[in-house]
Amino acid sequence: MGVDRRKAAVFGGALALRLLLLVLFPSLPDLLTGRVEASTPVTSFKRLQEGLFLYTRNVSPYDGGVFHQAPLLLPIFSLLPSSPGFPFPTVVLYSLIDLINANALITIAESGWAVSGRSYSAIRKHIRWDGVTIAAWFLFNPFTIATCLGRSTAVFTSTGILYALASAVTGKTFNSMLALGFASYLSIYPALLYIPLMLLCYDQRAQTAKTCPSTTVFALQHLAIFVLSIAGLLGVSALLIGDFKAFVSATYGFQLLVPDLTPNVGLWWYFFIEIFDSFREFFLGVFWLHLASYMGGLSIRLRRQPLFVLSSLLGIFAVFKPYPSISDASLYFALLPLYRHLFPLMRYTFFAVSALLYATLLGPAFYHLWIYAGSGNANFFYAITLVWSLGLSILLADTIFAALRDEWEYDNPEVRGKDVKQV
Amino acid sequence: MAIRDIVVNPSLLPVLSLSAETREQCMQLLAVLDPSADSYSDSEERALAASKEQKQLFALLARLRGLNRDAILRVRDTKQATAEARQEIDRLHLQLQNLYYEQRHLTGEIAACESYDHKYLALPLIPLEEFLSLHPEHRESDEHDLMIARINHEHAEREKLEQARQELLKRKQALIAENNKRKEDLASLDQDLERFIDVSLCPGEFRAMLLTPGRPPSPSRRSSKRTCINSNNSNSPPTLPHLVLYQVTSPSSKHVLVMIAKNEDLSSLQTVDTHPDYTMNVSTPSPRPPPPEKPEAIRTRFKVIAAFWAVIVFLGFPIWWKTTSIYRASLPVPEMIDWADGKTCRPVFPLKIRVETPHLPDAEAQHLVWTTQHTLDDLNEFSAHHLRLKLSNDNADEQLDELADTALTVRLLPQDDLINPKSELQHDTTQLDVFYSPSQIPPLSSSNPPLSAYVAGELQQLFTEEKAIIAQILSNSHAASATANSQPPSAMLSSVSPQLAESIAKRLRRSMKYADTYHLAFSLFTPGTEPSSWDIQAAVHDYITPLLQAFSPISNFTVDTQVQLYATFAPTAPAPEYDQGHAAWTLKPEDLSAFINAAEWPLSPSIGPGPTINFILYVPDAAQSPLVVKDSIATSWVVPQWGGVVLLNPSNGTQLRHLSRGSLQAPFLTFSHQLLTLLGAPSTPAALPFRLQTLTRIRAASLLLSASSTMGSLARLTESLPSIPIPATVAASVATTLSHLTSACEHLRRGRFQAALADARIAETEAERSFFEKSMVGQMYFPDEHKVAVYLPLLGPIGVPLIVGLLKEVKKAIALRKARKAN
Repeated sequence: MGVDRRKAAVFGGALALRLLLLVLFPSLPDLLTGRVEASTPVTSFKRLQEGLFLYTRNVSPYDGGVFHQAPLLLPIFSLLPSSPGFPFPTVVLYSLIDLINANALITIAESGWAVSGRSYSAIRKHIRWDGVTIAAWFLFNPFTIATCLGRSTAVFTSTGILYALASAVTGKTFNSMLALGFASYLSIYPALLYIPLMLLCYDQRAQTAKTCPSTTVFALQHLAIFVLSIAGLLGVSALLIGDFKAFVSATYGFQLLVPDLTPNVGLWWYFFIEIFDSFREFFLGVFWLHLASYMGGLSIRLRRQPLFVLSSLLGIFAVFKPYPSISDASLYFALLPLYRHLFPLMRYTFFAVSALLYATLLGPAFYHLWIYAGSGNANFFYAITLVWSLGLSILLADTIFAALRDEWEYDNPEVRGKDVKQV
Repeated sequence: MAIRDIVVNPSLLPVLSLSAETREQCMQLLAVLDPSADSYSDSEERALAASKEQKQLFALLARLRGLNRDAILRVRDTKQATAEARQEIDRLHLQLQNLYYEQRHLTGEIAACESYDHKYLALPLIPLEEFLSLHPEHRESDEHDLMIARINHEHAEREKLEQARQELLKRKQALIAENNKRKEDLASLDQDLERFIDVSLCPGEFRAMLLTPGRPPSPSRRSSKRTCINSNNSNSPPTLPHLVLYQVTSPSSKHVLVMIAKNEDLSSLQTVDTHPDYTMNVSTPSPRPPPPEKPEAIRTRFKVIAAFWAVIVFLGFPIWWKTTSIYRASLPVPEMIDWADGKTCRPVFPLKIRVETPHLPDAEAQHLVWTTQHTLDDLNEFSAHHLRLKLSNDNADEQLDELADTALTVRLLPQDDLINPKSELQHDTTQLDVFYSPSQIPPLSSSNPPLSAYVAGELQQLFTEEKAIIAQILSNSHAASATANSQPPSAMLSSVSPQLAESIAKRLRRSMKYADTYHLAFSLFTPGTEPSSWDIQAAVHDYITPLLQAFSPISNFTVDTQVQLYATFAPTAPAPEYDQGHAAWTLKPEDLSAFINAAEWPLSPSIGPGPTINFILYVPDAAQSPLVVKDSIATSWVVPQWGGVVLLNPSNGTQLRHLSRGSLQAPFLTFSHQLLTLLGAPSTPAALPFRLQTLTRIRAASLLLSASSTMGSLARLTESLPSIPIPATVAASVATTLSHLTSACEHLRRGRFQAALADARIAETEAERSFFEKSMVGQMYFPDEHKVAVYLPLLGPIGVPLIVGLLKEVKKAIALRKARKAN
């Protein structure tokens, strides 16, 4: 009962904070919606409004070349009263989605999969936070709040991913695949999580079930669920939009080919502004392969900790995906407290955190200098996004190192507590 | 006597005295020579006395010189002696210095030796009393020997200890090796067991068995790999218990082993430390090597590296190949170069000339034609351009067919009262009327009748200019491609007078470059407000449109017009001057280029694709009227490659509000003339159709050559830049160009110039399109070295760890294979 009260307090506090911010600063959502850090061409709420406007007037929402998001969002949002007139319902919806995400996080945390798996159990598993604390970390993270008030549609993808994880750790593999299908349908990159998620489901099943399912059959079965869920969603979208080809090229083609080089916190835009046109396709391929190549390596190396693989991949996506925003970082930061037991093993925490803070504070300033004041140029902002990516990368590398260290100590109990050198 | 005080050296004293003596002597001589003193009566005596005195003076001077020399020599000797002495002193001084240094060095050395901190002082030796109690025989020896003995003793002790350490280390190594071997055995056993478990499955039983007593309480890590084993083992083979038992015991034995190894390790440490007497620390066993990697870990690493490389090889390389490969459509390069070099086609211009002889019998007409042809061939020296006479038949069909391609019709008309034949070129058709008296009809026998010669001469003269122009075009192109097989231009042009060549060159410079479409812009400029309108539509329709229709096979035209009021001269342009003699305002011919106020007059340089030809009708202000060009009193001129200007002075000095069709007649006739010049039509002869035909041939030739040379340039470009992409459209354009070039050449050979021009136009357009293809131009300035700069910054950092990892794995695999072979 006590825990429940804590949970209620955290959730209520988070909701109240969001509404309070809206009441105190009515212009804040619109300001955040316009920020490049919070909304990208594929998640922007402004573009969603444009698509919605066209959709409610029975014009194809992709006609203007502005809207690039999944069409299923349109009927959902068309139910809400128009956001410029009544900002309240939209913010309440987004806040509720944040709460749903926090709930999923609590499920994940309380399953204990972060500290012990089927064939592995962390040595420092007593050092951990409970679910409510982790949810509080998520709900009161300024990045999460900014994403929520900026009404970026990336939160729906986050919901899909978090629910996929929550269902996987509780053994609902079917739901898990459906949720991942939903996330992949909204923005392609979660599809890369399929393999580690499947491994997580397999481990969960193998741990609880009486019979040991065949790996191949299990993988194929779940792949089928995954593909069918995506196909179903695409089918519904096609019914909704009519012109299937235009819709696919406007959403997935847009995300894959990255034609809009609006500045964001990622690394792609500047590079593709500078690259020679004849090499553009090649480097598109390189960047996507780079993103995809981590999946195999991490899944193999950290086979015994599939949930950690998933978290690390989310961190990698937050750095290297085509249109990243702070919402991707906030998703990674939401999963990070699950690995409280790895914190003592990390070495560069201070450096990573200060790089992130530095980038967070100076990023908007440099953007202002570049775009509004005109006293800086694109390199200013790009430099600060590099620092941001560097901070995230250090954090990622450090956690992965800590996880490997933990595993190694588990395998070699006699060296526990000794200093090691990375070679 | 200061000098006597200063000079005290005895060797110099004689000098002093002698010099005093000499001075005396000088005084005497002066006294003798003094005219005021009358010591001597006559001058001779005085001279005698003077000479005597002088001689004495000379003697004294000689002695003084000798003494001077002596003094100098002595000074020299003294100087040498001084130098020697000084050298000696320096040497001695140096020696002294050296000695000083040596002394100081030696003192320093001694001090260093005395303060040297020898190791033996710091050696952690056992105390003296202890040593003496161990070795009483050294009690008597002095301190030095005692120390040596102590050190030797220490050495021996240490060697003993080191030996012990080595032995312990060896034991440890052996234990570790054995440990590893056991572990390997265990791993293989695990596999066996797993395979076995896969066969028979029972979870509960196995757990129970695993927890058999005798097993250390530490949780099993490896054995809990597979927890699902069939609980029903009634039908499992009887070997199961044994295997399971073995599995159960083996981990424990491993643990025991590990523990033993650990204990021994500890004890060895203790044995080392049990020599507390010696203060030296037998080095704590060197930092423990990390536990050896398990084969499982190695396999995992291999898999990780393989996963990364699989992505690169199976996805990365195809993407790289697909996105960076350059599409190069194959071009018929040799054929294109042949065209450019003029090897494929040598343009010829066989002009068909019809001869109509309505009043002559066939045989005679035939004979006349034959002889004229003969004369023509003799006159012609430019083989590419030749005239073919043909007697006209009455066959109507053939006439219609051939009329279009006939360059000229010669009509022989008899006229009675003529002595010499005369000719007249008709202005509206391509027809030359030759009048002759019937008596001049050559008899069939004559081989070179005067009438034939006359006709041939006329024809030759008519085509002189055309021939010269074509020769020039051909020679230009051949000079560019530098082919040896063509005739040298001088040979082709030998019949052309230099003046004609000059004027042709001038006209070629002046005329516009050929274009498929020309835009004609007629503009009315006036400095005031009037005239503000003109009957331009009618004027164009009357005077320009017929010309344009005639030109339609050669080029397309569009017509634009405008009226600009308040069009003033440029401030920098010189103002017209009033000329009393002509009662007119005059412009200097050299200032005509500044007449057009390019900065302010809205004369668009390009209305659409293709060049614009501007025609300006300028109506001067009433105050500055009439306006003419100085000296020539002309009111119009051509601006080369740009257009023409006509000054329209109102006839009666009053300003016109509206320019009527009538008043526009003269300017527009001038414009049409200027247009002809600008389009490059020859100046002679006067007949327009004839000039048009000539222009057709000239254009066909120049387009053919230009398209051919474009093909050559394209071929060379694609050969010299192997990285330039060649889109399929370019290949198609090239094919079209070549086929049209071929047919144009064929048409030329047959004398069908209209068709040849049409083909050449298409060929030129396609050639230009293929040469200026956009996607080719972009790639042109991208050398291969840039690719390094493109690939390296990004792929380098990603690639290096991957490649190093791969190399390491490969090395390991090779080492493993070698080891296996050795076994």
